[in-house]
Amino acid sequence: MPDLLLPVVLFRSQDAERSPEFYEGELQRKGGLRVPPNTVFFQLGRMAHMSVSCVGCGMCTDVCPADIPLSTLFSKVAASAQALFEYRPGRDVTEEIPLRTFEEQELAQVAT
Amino acid sequence: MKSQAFTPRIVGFLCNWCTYAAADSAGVSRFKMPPSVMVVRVMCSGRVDPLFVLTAFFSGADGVLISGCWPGQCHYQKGNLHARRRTALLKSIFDTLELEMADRFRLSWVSASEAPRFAQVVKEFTDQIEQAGPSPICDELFL
Repeated sequence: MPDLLLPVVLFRSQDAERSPEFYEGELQRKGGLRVPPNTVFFQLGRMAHMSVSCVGCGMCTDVCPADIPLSTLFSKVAASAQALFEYRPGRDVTEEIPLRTFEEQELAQVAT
Repeated sequence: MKSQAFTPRIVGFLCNWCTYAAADSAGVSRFKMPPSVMVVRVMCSGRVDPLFVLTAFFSGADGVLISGCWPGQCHYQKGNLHARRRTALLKSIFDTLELEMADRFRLSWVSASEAPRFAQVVKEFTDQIEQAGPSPICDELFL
């Protein structure tokens, strides 16, 4: 029996938090820095982790302090990711999420 | 305008058992290839997290190459099949959002005996990145 709870991958602090050396390096390289840093990185990382499991609940839009309609964007990415693996979150609790499983013959066009 | 010719900086995540050996062998056999790939040796292409790829791009890589054993030949049986799924997902995210990174990201299977193929992959990919020009991401302050 597989886990009923989806193994949702959350960001560990070491991925999201940066050392003083990082800020120093970014300042030297770019001459400026956005605070907080890595916002786009975070969103793309979140998409890589969560888009196959997205049911479009809209909570990300609700909590966005800048009122960005994240859910619209997220649903679009989720739809294409779920179509890629022919997966629908919530369809079947015994189904593994796509990134935990694979098929021997698939996605041949990905590798060139 | 840049006075110097543009040399792409490509981060290559190479599998220890296949592609790293192929890269080594390509060097020993003195195959000609551009010195554009900075190699990160990983034990398996399945070790490469999508976050590694994103980190490479946001740290100024012009291209990212993931390379490992052919499907069915993985040293750990299934690592590269997981890598294939992750790559497909990341590619689909880039494509859907129409990000520049979609054309700068490549997954290639190169086995340990395919040194000429490794040289060819590096050459092709470097040409492709040269055509595309420097990545706009690395100097972008607000990313």
